Amino acid sequence: MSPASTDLALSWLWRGSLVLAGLALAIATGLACRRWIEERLRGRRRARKEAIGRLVQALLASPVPPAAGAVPALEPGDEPALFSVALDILRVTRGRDAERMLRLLEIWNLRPWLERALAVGRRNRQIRVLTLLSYFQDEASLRLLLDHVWSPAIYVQLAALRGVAERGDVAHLPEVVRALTDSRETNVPMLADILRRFGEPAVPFLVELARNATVPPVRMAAVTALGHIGSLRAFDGLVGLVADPEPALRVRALESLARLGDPRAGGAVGERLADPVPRVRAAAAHAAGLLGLRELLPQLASALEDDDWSVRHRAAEALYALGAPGQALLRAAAAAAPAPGDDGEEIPERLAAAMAAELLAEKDGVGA
Amino acid sequence: MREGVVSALAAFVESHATWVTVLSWLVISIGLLQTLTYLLQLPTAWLELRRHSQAGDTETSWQMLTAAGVAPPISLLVPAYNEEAVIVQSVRSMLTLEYPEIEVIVVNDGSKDGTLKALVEGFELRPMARVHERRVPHAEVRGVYGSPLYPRLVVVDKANGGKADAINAGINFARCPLFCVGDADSLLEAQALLSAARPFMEDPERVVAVGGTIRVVNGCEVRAGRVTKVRLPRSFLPLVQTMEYIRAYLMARLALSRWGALTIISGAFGVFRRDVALEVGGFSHGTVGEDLEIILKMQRYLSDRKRDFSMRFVPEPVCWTEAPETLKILGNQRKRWERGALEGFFKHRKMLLNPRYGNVGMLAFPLSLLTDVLGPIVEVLGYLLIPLFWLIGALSLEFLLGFTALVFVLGVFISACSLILEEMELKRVPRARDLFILIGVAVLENFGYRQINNWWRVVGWWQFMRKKQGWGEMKRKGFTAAKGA
Repeated sequence: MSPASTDLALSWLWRGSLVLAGLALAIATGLACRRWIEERLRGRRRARKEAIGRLVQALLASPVPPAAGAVPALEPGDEPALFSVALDILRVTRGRDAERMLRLLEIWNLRPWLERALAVGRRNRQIRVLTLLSYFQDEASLRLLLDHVWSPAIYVQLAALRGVAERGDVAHLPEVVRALTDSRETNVPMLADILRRFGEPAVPFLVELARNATVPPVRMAAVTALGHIGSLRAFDGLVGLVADPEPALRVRALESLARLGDPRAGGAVGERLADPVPRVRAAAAHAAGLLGLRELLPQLASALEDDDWSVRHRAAEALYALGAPGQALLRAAAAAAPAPGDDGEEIPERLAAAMAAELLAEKDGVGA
Repeated sequence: MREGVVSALAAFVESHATWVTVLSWLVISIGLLQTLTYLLQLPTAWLELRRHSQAGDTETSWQMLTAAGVAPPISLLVPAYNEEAVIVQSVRSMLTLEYPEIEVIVVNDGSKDGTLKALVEGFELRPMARVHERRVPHAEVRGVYGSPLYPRLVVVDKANGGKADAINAGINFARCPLFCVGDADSLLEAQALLSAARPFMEDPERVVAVGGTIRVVNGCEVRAGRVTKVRLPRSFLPLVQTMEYIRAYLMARLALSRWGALTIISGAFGVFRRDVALEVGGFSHGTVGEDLEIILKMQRYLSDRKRDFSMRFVPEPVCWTEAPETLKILGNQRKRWERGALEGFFKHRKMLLNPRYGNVGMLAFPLSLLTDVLGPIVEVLGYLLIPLFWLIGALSLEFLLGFTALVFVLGVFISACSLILEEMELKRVPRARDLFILIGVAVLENFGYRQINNWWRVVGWWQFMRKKQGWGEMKRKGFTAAKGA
């Protein structure tokens, strides 16, 4: 390397180092300043939130309903604190207090701030705003919620869907389902939670959805929602679904049938005890126990000899839950239990005996 | 005398010129590749945060907590070996985690101290029977205990078999579809499980494992098993580890998660699908880095069967752990980590540059080769070669200083950028001035700490070659002692 090129390389080394050092210092200073400002503002915001909280509580407890002109005005910039207080209150109150809280928000004209927060706010604020809007019953709030059911941010979308569902108006179900189908949403538990909020009037639609929806997670969510709603109107639909070609859907249909608590499900559940998929057999055994299906005692006793541990376990639990006749079957099976330390071949009778003995020991508190 | 040594060295370098040149270029190229990796990881991590950030989203957590059947049940497995000092407080904090359906299974792995006695007394445990699977192997179970006061707590007392063995026992006893592996000496934040469960809810068919962030608890105030006031550690070693953890988790793991190339989920906090863990045969016995091994095993097993799956790192769930405060204990830990990394790399070397394993084979393994396998040796070689070249006159002092400055400043710059990620998502650095302290630490770590850390890793290499097993000494102070430490 010539002296000139060495000098050039050296000069670039030092320049690079200086630039990087300067950038690192600038980043640290920027972050620290931002944090310092936040710390200063946080104290002020907390104090303001407490003051607004006290004022709101007093107005909620007042014998006179809040009216425009009779309520003290808030300071400019109080909107975030008011929003936060309102959400905290609405989460845990119902009836008169909730209505008054919503009336206060109208009097203090929080709506423009909410709309701005939805348009330009960060994701977490959008989620909270949509949650707050779900408590309003007016058309404008509904429109805002419906606008966001197509949001590409999943939790924003779910918050909007939840808000729409909270109103319980089944007329919106088709739009909700279209949004879910288009977005290919896969969060089945949250979808089910949203669908169940439409309540009993949504049952026929949900049954149809569970049968015919094109997106598997939406079908599964519909089946789970039917179980949570708990209406016997879903019974026939769910019985049909326990034989669906999709094993995960069969499992969910059995769980939902168990939630309905209708013992007419015996036939359908009994058939699933012979399902080729172990987790379906386990779900069927579990459902049999929850539904008190004593007519399935023989099948459950046979299920104690299943190859799959979870099926044997669920069958043993179901037998125990079925009371004296089931427990008698368990004791009979346990009587053939191998002696401790016997590592004989895993024949079905041994598996059944071991499971029965272990479960009895657990439930009766013996063998410890 | 000095001139004699210098001329002998110069003669040596001249006579081995080809080797020295190859070695020098190797050191430079690997250093550059490592730097390039870090510079790519930073924007990738930022993109991943933008996509999956949970910062401030209290509403979704609230819905998970209050809506029936939304959050999947989780078994929290706590392997414990000689954890008498912290076990009761730790389990108490786990029992109060904010999560709708949880069972805590403590596995006493043949402790020689009073761990079991502390648990029995602390929770009024009584012997019980519990039906459980025997799918994955583990040492003999001596007893199972439950508490009428805490029905969600199960304590399994077994013969000593190591951490992987204890986790396997926990997996057998677990009854929930997901299990979380925690450490008896670590503290989970109250909503950690809610955050970690989200990916499983978002994509229940594909997600098989999720990891969270580990942070240093030294210096924090801990009450009743909860971190009540976050503070930076007061001594240098835990402080420098705080900065290391920020870089490792918020930059490297987040980027690897986005690339679909995650090869490790920390042993102190990871959530797994139980059925998949059972399918792969549980955690492997006789490994030093069981947390790395289980992930590689799952990646390999699922890819071999062409299953569509995903593993995610989520920064929001934070687990606080006690960092070593002495060089001896830290050294043992780092040597063990290096042995674990090498063990995982060589055991699964078939995955290296094998397209069948997707980004794990094509990206994560080459990265591991650069950073874990070659990294420490190359860096130590660099420390030896550069002064050597200066000594024999092949490098000017100005060049030596300039090069060293660039390497060190680059490290500081990467640390500063990691702090941006920290401020975007976690904000667990307590005060504005602490951000400056951490930058100061990022500067200071270049003078001594970085070198000794690399030396430990080279020793870890040596121990790996000699097939050394065991964990070395790891003394705990306990959380109460950690207060204000």
